[in-house]
This record gives sequence, C-alpha cells and structure tokens, in this order.
Amino acid sequence: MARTTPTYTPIGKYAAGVILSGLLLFSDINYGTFSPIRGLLKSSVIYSKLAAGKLVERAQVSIALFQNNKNLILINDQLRERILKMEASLFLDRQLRAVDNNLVNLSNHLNDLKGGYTAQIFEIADFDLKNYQCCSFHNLYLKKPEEITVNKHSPVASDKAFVGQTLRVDLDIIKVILFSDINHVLPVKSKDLYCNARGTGEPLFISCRMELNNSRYIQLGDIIYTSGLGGIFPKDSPIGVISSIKNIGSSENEILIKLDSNPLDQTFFGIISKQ
Amino acid sequence: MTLKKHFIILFSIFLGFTLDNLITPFTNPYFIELSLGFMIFSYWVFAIPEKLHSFEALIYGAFIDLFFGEAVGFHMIFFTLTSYITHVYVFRFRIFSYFQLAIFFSGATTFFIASKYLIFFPANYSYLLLILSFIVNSIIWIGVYFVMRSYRRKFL
Repeated sequence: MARTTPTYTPIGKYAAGVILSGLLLFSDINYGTFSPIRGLLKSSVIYSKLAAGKLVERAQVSIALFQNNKNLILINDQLRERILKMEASLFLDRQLRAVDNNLVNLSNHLNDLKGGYTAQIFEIADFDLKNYQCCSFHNLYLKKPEEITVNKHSPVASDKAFVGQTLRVDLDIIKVILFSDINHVLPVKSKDLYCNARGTGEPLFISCRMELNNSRYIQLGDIIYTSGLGGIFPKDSPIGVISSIKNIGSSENEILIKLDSNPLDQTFFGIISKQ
Repeated sequence: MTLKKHFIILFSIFLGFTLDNLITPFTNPYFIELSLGFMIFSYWVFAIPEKLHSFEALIYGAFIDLFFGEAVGFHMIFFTLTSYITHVYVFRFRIFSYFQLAIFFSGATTFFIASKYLIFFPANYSYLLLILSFIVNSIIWIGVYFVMRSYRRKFL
C-alpha cells in the first residue's frame, strides 16, 4: 500500500524559478549587478535603526529629566564623545603630517604631485557584527553629513591605526571594508618583508604568503607597516604585528599579522581623502 | 490570497531573519548558527501549501535577498526548492510526528546554512558548526512550529 497520497506539483514553474534565481545569483556574485540596490536598501535599514535609536535616546533623556539627572548624562556623553573625537583626530593629524612629509619630499622632485589631503571624522552608523563574528565579509557603515564628499577607496582610520577603506556611499551612509575582510588586499612591509596581505576572514587578522627564502629573517612580533604601494594608504603607518609564521607546503610560509586596532572598540573613525 | 496576508507572512519571515542577525553574533563563537527566518518560511509552506507556490517563494526570496542577503538569488533558489520539496511531500508530512518534522526541517535548514557557507564564506565552512546547528535548530523548530501556528491562527 502506498504510504503517501499522490500530489500534483508541476515541476516546470519551480525549475524556471530555480534557473532564474541561479542566473541572478551568478550575475550578482560575479558582476555585482544588484549591489547598488542592496546598498540603498541597507542604507535605508540603517537609517531606520538610527531613527529608532534616536527615539530610544530621547525616551531615556526624558526619564533622566524626570530623575533630575539629564544634565549630568548629557555632559558625560558630550565629554565621552569629545575624548573619542580627540583621540581619532590626534591619530589623523599624525597621519596627515606623515602624508605631508612624504609629499614635501616628493615635491622636491615633482612639484605638481603635491596634492592637498583632508581628514574628516565620522560616527559609526552600523556594524555588520553577524558576518564579522562568523564569516569572511567584514564591513562597517559610517554616517556622512550631506555637505561632505567622500571618495571611494579612501583610507579609514581609528584612533590607533588604519582599519580599512571606503567602498561606496549610499544615501549618505559610507560602506567601509575592513582589512580582515577576505576580499581586501593591503600592500604591507616590515624590515625584510614586502607583501600583499589578504584578510583572513577572522577578526583582527590578515595574512601574507611568502616563499621560504624571502621570509627567513622575519620574526614573531615584528611590526608591520603600510607600504604605500597600493596608492591608497600612506606608507610607514604601523598596522599590526606578526603573530605567527606557519609553514604551508615545502616552499611557502604563511605569515599571520594581528591588527593593532579593533574596530569594535571605536565609535568614531577618520577618513583621509584628497581634496 | 490577499496582499494583506502576504504582508503578514513576509513580516514574520523578516522578523525571523532580523532575529537571526541579532542572535547569531552571540551563538557563533559556540559554532551554532540559527536560521529562524528560513524555518519560518518552511513552516508557512508546510502549513498552507495550497497558497504558497513557486512564484510566492521566488518573491519572498527576492525580498529577503535584497534586505538580508549577500547576493540576490540565493534565498530565491532555496525558498523555491524548499517550496517544491514541501509541496511534493506535503501529505506525507501530515502524518509525521513532531520529532520527524523537526529532523526534516532542521536538516533542510542545515543544508541551507551549509550552502550559504560554501558559496559565500568557504573559508569559514565547518562541520562542527553544521552538526551543532542541526541539533539546536531541530530543538528550536518545535518552538517555531507552535509559535507560528498560533500566529497563523490569530492573523491569517
């Protein structure tokens, strides 16, 4: 006896649906066909979250007012924000000075290459925590005031070191790709090392693959700097230290670099861009 | 089915995916990934198969892809496939025990999670994560089933 009642489910429409979805998936993964639409929607979701957050904040302030604590809370928040902003701007100042120094040196030879740089501080709007903890895509989102223009592929820094670069701007929300994202490649150097470090997909770690001969003088704890070879980050800015050296295969080493700055600890980030 | 009912269903699926996003950062260090959104969609197809067909699955998938996905098409594929398999075996599911249902839908969810990791995050693919997620999702399915059943009876 049959154990199931026969059902009539024509496969045609389902097959067409799967084929159509497959084509869309292929085109989006390979060519980013729908990334502008997804960016817009993601930004609108972030805006709604921010609006909801503001409402909660106002409710909290009202409650605090009721308890005669409003002023203290406000002053505390303002001071905390000011300290975070100052820390970020100090780092940016240092970076700008380094950029300027580089440019001054360069301008002795090529005067016309001396372009101006600007540094701006942005507050975080959202952090893709789910993917940051589990998976290879590491992004954060910054709020951009309307009057400021931010270019794609500009360096993004916290108060300690660079953390990533801008990817795109949708509805005044800046998407930032972090160094640890598996798709990010950062040219770095140490005393005896020049390599393109790729994000490992693990928070705070990037890695380089090098031939054994080229990596024999490298040691654990060596400081890693940006090499400036990618044309995005200024050179000689420390970003992390070598945390492990693994032998992979007979002729290659994998050098794991632990990044100095943890983006989860930050509220404000700076973006350096050309004027 | 009216547009309002579609909104009610879509709202519950959205809520599931939003909860996933909120909870997963805390469960991931323990190699557990929940997929409440996918289980809620599976529940709807299981509960009202006569109203949810390939087109509805495709549209719901497209919405989820745009708001929560890494790329458009992924949820569309899995929603359509789940919808097809559920439709084919819908009467067999009716005679399944809760335990059997939990095993089947948790298995489908684990397959969904495994495919997501293989396509988007191959570096983070882990069998331990899949096994633990299977166990946890099969327990959670029972809760999803009863909560969604009362939601359906109240609003649909």
